[in-house]
Amino acid sequence: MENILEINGLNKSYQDFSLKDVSFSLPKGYIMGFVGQNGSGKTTTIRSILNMLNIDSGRISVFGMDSVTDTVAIKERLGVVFDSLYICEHLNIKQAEQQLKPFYKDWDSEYFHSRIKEFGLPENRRVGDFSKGMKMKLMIAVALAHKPELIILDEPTSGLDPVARDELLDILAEYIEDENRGVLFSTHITADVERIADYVTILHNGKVWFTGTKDDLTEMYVVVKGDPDDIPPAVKDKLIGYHKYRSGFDALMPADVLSQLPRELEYEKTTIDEILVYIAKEDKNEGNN
Amino acid sequence: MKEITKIMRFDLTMGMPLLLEQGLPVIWLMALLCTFFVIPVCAVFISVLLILCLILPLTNLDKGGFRKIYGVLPVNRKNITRGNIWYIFFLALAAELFSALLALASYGLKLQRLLGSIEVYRNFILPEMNKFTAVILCLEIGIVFFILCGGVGTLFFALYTILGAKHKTKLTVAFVVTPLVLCGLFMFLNEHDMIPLIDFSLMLPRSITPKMLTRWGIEHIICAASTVLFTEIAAARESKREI
Repeated sequence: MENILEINGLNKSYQDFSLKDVSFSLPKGYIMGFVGQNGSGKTTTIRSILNMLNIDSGRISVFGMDSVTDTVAIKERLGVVFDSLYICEHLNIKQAEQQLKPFYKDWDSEYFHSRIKEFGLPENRRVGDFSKGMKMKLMIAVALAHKPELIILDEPTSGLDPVARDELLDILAEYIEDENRGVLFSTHITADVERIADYVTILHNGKVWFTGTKDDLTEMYVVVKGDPDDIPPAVKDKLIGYHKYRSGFDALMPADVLSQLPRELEYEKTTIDEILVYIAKEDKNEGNN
Repeated sequence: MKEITKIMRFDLTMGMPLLLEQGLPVIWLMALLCTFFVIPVCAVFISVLLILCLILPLTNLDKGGFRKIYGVLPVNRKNITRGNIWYIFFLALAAELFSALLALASYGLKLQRLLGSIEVYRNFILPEMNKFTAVILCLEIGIVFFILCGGVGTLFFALYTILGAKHKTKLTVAFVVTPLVLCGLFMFLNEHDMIPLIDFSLMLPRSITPKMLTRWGIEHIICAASTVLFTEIAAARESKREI
């Protein structure tokens, strides 16, 4: 499979946060959910892909081109949606189009206006007066208007009502019908990832905790529950986010150690949401203390 | 070059809607009436207002999420800075030419005669209007304004780009206070007869002379050269800055 996006050994340090050796890739024709808690490094990674940051080390390749040296050529073929509006707020839709159109060779005005009409956005109102959902739809229309091969969305669903979120996911599903395209979709709302993503990358404290297919992720881990006294020592070290209650414990566990689990302990399939919660709990793992 | 012109067009599209905001159409009309019926120097006021409106969005680049657009657009980062600064320069040049054209038109049409019945106009303004001095004055003010916008304005924007948004207030204060202090000093020295009294009206020639044209040319070249210098320093700095 040909990768539309490849990140290898990305490092970026700030005073209070760093991305450490982030590596993952997105094959053509798929949607990748990029998940993690707030502050896990999702936006920093996206800004690195867009060459908005000076990375310390590593290589980012988009469409097989280097994200630093070929940034202009990459952005010509890239659509971006941020969590906040990046279009001048006092302009209306027509003026915003006038402003952005000259930058893209393949800008399709007809398509742009058909999207705007479909989204029910008023063309003559200042975009700054739009609701959060309308702003998001406008950014999506802008991102799609120049027929990008890859769309990067940074927390597009945060702050959207369920109907608007559903509409956005439908748009992405429709967009990815073309197998030569790709979507990198950062969010902390895992239900969206469960619904449309094929691949998942989980970022935790600036490191990649998991990257692979969504099915692999949910099959690789289980939630185990029971009496703490029944946990075999060999399994105890493998537990993630161990939490003890008065009546027992629960934790996330790799599915490959299921064979070592005694019958007294119960296990069940997990969700991405649960995985994120257990990863967060792992930082204050009671089992480690 | 293509990218620079795209950014300049981007900035212009951003500023244009502000020309018709709030009560500005009324102000444009009033200023035009003043230029044609009262005194040509009002043309400079039109240019000042025009340039202020068109530059205003550039002073708010760091507000909200707007700056992110520069991370999205397929343009070299250096060319974004070059485009922004050259936009200010060419805007100043266009405003200067516009005020000169308006002043010349006002002089040519001599519509001030319609107000000739008012004594002040008949005795003071009309005689001046009939001389070319009024237009020269307008051109000179236009050039001073051009130097302020095209030279000092581009320096301000370059420093703003180099130092970052957190120094915007300090820079604004410095750029406003410095000319005020210089003017105050000049007035103080003038009042205490420490410098010879300068009567600008006597300095203005009654027609455009080759010497004057040469001076204007040199002023424009110096302004353009300083803009090139500031732009390249700012562009080099900006290309390393994170968005």
